[in-house]
Amino acid sequence: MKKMDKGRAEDLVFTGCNGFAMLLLVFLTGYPILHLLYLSLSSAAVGNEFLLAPRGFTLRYYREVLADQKVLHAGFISMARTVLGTGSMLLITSAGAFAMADRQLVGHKALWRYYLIPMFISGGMIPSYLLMKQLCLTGTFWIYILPSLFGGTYNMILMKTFMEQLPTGLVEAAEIDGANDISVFFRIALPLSLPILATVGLFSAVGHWNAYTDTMLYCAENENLHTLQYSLMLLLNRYSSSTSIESIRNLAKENGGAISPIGLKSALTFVTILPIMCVYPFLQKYFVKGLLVGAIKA
Amino acid sequence: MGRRRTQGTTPDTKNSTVSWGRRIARKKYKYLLLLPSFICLFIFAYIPMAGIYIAFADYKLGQGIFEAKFVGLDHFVKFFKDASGVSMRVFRNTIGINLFSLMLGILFPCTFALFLNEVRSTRFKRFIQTVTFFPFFLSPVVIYALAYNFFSSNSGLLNRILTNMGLIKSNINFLGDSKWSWPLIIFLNLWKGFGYNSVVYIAAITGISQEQYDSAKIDGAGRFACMRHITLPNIMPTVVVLLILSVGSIVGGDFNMMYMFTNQLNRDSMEVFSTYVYRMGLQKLRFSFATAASLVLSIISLSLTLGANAISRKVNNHAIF
Amino acid sequence: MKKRWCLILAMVLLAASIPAAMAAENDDPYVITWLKDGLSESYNTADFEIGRHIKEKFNIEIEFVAFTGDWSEKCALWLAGGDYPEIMQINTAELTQQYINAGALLSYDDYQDIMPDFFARFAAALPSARACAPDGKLYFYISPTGALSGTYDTPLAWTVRSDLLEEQGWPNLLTASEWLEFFKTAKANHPTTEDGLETYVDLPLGEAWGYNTLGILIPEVYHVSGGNQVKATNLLDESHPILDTWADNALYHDTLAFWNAMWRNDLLDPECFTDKCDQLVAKSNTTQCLASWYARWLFGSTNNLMIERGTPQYTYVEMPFRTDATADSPRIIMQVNSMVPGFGNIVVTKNCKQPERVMELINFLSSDEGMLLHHWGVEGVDYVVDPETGKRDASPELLDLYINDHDGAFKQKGFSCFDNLGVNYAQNYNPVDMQPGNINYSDSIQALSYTERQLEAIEKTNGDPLPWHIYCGEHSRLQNTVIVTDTLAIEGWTIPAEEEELLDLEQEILDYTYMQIPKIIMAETEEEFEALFAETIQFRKDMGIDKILDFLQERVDALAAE
Repeated sequence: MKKMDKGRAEDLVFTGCNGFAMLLLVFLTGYPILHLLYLSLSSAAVGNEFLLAPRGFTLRYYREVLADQKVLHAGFISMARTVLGTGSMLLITSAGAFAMADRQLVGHKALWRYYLIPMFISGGMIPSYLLMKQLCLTGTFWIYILPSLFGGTYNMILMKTFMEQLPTGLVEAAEIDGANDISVFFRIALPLSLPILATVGLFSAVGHWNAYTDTMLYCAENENLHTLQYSLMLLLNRYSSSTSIESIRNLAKENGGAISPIGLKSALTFVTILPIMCVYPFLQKYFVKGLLVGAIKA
Repeated sequence: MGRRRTQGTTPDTKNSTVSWGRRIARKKYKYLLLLPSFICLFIFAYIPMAGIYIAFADYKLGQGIFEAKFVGLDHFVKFFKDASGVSMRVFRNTIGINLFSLMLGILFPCTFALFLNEVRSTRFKRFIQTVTFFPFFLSPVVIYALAYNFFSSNSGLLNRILTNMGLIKSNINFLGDSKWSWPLIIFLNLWKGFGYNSVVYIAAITGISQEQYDSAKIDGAGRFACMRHITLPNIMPTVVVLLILSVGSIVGGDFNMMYMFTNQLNRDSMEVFSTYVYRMGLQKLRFSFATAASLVLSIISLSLTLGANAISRKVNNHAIF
Repeated sequence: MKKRWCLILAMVLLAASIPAAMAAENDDPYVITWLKDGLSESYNTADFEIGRHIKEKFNIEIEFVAFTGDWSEKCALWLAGGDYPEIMQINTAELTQQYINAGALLSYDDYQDIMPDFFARFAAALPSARACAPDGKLYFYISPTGALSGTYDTPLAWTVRSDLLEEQGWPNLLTASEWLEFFKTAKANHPTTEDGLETYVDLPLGEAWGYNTLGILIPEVYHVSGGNQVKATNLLDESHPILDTWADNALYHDTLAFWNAMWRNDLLDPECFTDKCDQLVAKSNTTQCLASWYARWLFGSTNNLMIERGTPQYTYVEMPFRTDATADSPRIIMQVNSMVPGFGNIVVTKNCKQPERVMELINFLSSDEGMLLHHWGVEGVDYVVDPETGKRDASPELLDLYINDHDGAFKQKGFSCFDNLGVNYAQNYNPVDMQPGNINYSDSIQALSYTERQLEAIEKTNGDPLPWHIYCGEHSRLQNTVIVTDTLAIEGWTIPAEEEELLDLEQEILDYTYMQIPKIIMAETEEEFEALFAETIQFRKDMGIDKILDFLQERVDALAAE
């Protein structure tokens, strides 16, 4: 009895402290974001202070951003590249990871060297640009997808590590049933690797969603191919530039009048973040334990 | 708890007696699975790699890469000669900031994932995960604005709190003072990344089977004990992998963040290689110099990573490659 | 049989398409895509009245596409890949030089017979532009910056909270000591804002270009950067080639002394060294900022905010500044008659599909007729000319349009829609007739861009309701305007890209200077200030600044001899 009470007390203390620490972390990361949100909804000037609510509530910044046709179109482009790019990347990289997880493969060491070197050494900006030009990829949508089809050796290593730890019992059982490596990959390895696929997929999706450099370098002339971030930066420029002629324009109050740069930037930030944050909770269910329960035969 | 037999360590006793050809044929589908990534890497990584020639030549914009006049190691020599004055300082800053960021960047997210795992309520857990995930997406401009609100010397919250608590007499200029550059940037990198980086550890933890916990509970293990003896050892491979992979980035650094926070006051402790190469190389259109500098740094990175891998093989009997 | 029918069919189709193709070439306009950095919104010139006038003449349209990102990187990669656009504006000297050296550009000299107006207009300046090409031909030009007008004298001016001026009886401030006293009193009256935030004079020194804002003090090795404007306010003897050093120039010492005095009197924001533009705007929005220097363009939105909030008395207005010693020096209007690659070099590349047509267009826009059409519009419709004085001003119809429909006015007219092609004096004066180069800077339209409060402030301090007359009006304290024609202005004083050693030395000295300036400004006593200043001068000498200056002096002398 005493042992149980002691155990429970220890448990409570642990839970309490853990909860408190977590709340602290949530506050440290969450409050600044909340503060930004308030800034994006405030019309009045805000000095250095704790904001508990927006001051002078206004949807002006969001209206500016979301009413813009170009921004919406760019959102579609970014969405398309995120879905296509991430999907294809996951398939190809996990296939490679599955193969490389087998240490008995002939040429294993050489293959590793082959995959490792590009992680560190690259030709730089100019050779890559020349290559894209030669491949006629500049100014097309495919420049967003093709170069990142292989998601990088880093991700491959993460996947490989995960796959190595999958129990062999399943594989052996499948092989007895006559499955070849490709079957094993699609039917066993992939489904069981969902946590790591979700992880790497998330990193990749975020990369695609936030990308703007490739637009700047390869697709700047074609407004139909602008990604979201690039389009938002153009929008920011529209409000930042201020020659005397522009300031005449600013006199028109119907346009919303004064723009606070940090307010606009915060609104842009949220427009970018929110879609990701809507997707993230759905991915979290892949991090749930117990996928392997019952899968292993005695 | 013994190590489970996993795919990666299955011994093939018939190794020595079967010929090459047969072994390849047996595993032909695996090679097929490798093919797409192999080709992609070849086209998009190896072909441009030939452009490294720029580092060994006097490349002028507008000429073909291989038309440039070969100058051997001239640019490398220049890079190392600079290494007496400014570069030493830059080197020290880069290593210093990255070393601490690296250690904390593994320690903290890992610990966070461990303790997050112990949170009972799924809803609370998801809430924590979602919120701590946010800072990663903020651009350096926005982070600067937030850092300013918190750290600024006139009216920043931190200074105000410290003054009210009587801990300091006059305000500290976190953003400008060289002494505070490293703590500032390390803290900010940590704040920005820990939620995001912990995802890998969380994923690894979900891979641990429930059986181990159940049998431990039966043996009467408490929460701490479970963490120490089950969770931690099971995610060790992941931690080691991430450690080895991160070692290489010790000479790198997030360019955008550093550029934002470097100003004239804290330059001697804030300037790192990425901003230095940008300033000295790319801004002045000295591509050959910039490529040579990057190549040197790349080789250092590669060596460090291979070294870490080898050490891991000796110590842990387990290596990535 | 089948094969023969296919062949015949193919030939018929081909034959049918030829007249269509030819007709297409005649009817379809020549559309050029121009990706431009620093443009706020994409547009096509044919969207505007003026663009359509020009399209009628030449059947050319230019599609301007806004760009954001690193323009230098983009230009460099274009050159590396050979896929540069037809016309472009290169923003740095080095890149322009690289383009020329790589043979990527077409030379204007090859089209001299169809560009008489262009060559006539820029006759004085072109020889210097030719100098940077190895074969001595003309590969670029810069749309001239014209003569400094009153409207945009220089960014080297204060923007100060007008309620502070009002309180102290609208003083017409100019000199350093006057400003210092003014700020001391202002801060004593308003140590904090209503919300309890401490007030200061703030500067965006956290920005990369921040130190240029320290006014007359331009911490460069030699004061060429900033070009005409810097030289104008340096108020140096116009007959003497200006090649001076930081040390010898009393202006640097006096300006730094001023900032140091501001610091010692607790007037300068301690955060100014790390503040960027966003922080400055945030501070001016909360009226924490008593005044700022140089970054005048940031205050447009603040002023609008003040009006919106119903507190127009906090509007920020501009006022000039001189050190005590230079208070009576002449105001210089510089006419630059040289062209070296600077910022905004217009080039036509080898990828241009129909270069003759482009050259014709440039020629037209350089002629008097073209310039007026491009920047002023149609006489009688958009602008009127006073029969007695010959002065141009916006027409009443145009003014109506601006007052009633701001956006519409812009979307409709398209003044300067061809950007820097041909002649664009922008906000400066056309040196030939000393009138604004662009209709948006005509008196009537300029008057519209100032708010009531600003006009009130200017009138009360300056005795003259036109804001730009602070600099040039009858009551302006800046008297004795001198027009200086300078053919050597920028030319001699840039170190060419080949001199890597000198460029590196220059960078080192600059780095050192940038690190010293905050220390000098933050000196606690006058003695410390003098000591630090002297130490900096000496150290720069020890670092070898004379090497650079001697080199530059040689270049200037060589060019002067030509």
